[in-house]
Amino acid sequence: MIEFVNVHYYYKENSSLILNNISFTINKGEFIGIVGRNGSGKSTLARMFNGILIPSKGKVLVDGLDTRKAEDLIKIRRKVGLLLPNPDNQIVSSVVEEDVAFGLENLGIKPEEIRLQVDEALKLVEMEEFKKHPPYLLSGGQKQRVALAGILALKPDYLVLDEPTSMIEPEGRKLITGLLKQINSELGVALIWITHDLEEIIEADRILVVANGKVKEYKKPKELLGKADIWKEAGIEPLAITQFMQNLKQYGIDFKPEEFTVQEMVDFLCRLK
Amino acid sequence: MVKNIGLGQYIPGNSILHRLDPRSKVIGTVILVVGTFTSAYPVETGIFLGTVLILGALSQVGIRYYFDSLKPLLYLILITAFFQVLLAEEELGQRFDAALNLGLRLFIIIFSMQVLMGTTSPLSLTSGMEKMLSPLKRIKFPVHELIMIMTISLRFIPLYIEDWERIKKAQMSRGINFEEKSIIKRLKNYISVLIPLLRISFQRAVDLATAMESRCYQGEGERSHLNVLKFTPYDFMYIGIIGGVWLITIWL
Repeated sequence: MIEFVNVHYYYKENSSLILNNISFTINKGEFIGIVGRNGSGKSTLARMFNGILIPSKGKVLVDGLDTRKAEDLIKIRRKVGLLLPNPDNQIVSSVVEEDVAFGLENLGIKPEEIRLQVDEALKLVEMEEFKKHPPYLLSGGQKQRVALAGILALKPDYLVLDEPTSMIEPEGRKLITGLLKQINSELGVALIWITHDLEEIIEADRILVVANGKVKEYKKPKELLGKADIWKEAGIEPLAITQFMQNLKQYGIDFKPEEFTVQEMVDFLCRLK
Repeated sequence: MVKNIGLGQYIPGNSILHRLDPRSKVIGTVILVVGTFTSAYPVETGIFLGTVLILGALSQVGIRYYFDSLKPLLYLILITAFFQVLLAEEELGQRFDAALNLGLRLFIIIFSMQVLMGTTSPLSLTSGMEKMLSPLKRIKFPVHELIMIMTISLRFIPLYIEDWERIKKAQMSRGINFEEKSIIKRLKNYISVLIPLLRISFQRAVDLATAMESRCYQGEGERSHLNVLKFTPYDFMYIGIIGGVWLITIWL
């Protein structure tokens, strides 16, 4: 379990708070979506999960390990992987398999064990045929899959995804999205998915809405996605289906807030007929 | 995607040279470079030229790789040779000979470096260098840090070339002329490329540090390696052959 307990964060004492008294918990295997407008503190929050940033006040606990304790950081980082938006900025090596091995090499794991885990991770992200390739010859989506493999090789329990599809082509985006959901459902790795695109987190267990460094909402998607006013306030584009339903409401056709998926909408309209 | 990045770029493969230990390749290249500098023209230089051409063929990375990577450097070789002809104090025939000698030596040196870089992945090259420089750790020389800087620099070269091209095109589309006749104006115009490039570099540096720390990087520590460096009889043979060529040129 990851616990944020009254977390505050500021760059300098007496300067404005980037994160203001944030508290929430995430259980193992969960899929959590985090949304908020630019500058709301999402990326700062992402860097708190594995101790890249340490709270100015409050604490972050990962399976009971405190990110403020330097001696626990390596254990925490093995448990919590962090994927950044731009794959080019996270790939260290000039050959795919060597990059995937980087984290394992840092832990001093035996070469034969590294080889096994590298191959397994590359297979998981469907990139085993590119293992000898230099990353600069890959597409954006493929590079992001290599970066993901580098994290998965460490066998994390939690995966923090900071806008993982924002800098890749639509085809690659679709593939990455599918892979991540598969990793969550089949391997039980918890996903903490930061995004602007509500479509990506429609299947999340819970959605955390961040605004001005504070948690505005932390509820199930069904309780949030249909409410256009929440998204307007948070500076996020609501789902197209939510906007559609909002427009229908103006014509006197009412709907239940939980009717937000395409299939549910179709069922609803058919019932009207 | 950037095309034709030949200079210093690793080309994956499975040739004899690809399979050699990076340390033996580095030693071989050092022998070739030193030998070429100390060789006499034309027989000994010719022997070194033949050696690097054979190595080029053995590397199996394709003639296009060498052609693309040497193309921009040919100008440097030609200009150096031109000044040799223009400024040397010997007779005209001797000047041409000297220019050809200089040009040929530069070609051999660059070509041998290309063979090394084309057949050795940067990480394996830097691992080899780290092993070779490891005795310096005893005098507290930061070998690991230096090697990590080299690894990352090599990884980011293609990215910066790509960024440079992209920013330049964007600025051109906004009316900046990089073909100005005045060198001062042209240099001023390039500032519009350099500033965004610097900003991108800082962002990259911050992100890379975050990604490395997230993957448990802690500086030197107890690191292991995916590919363990191991000297095989082929490595000793390689060094022996290159060393032998050098000895022959000394004997001649």
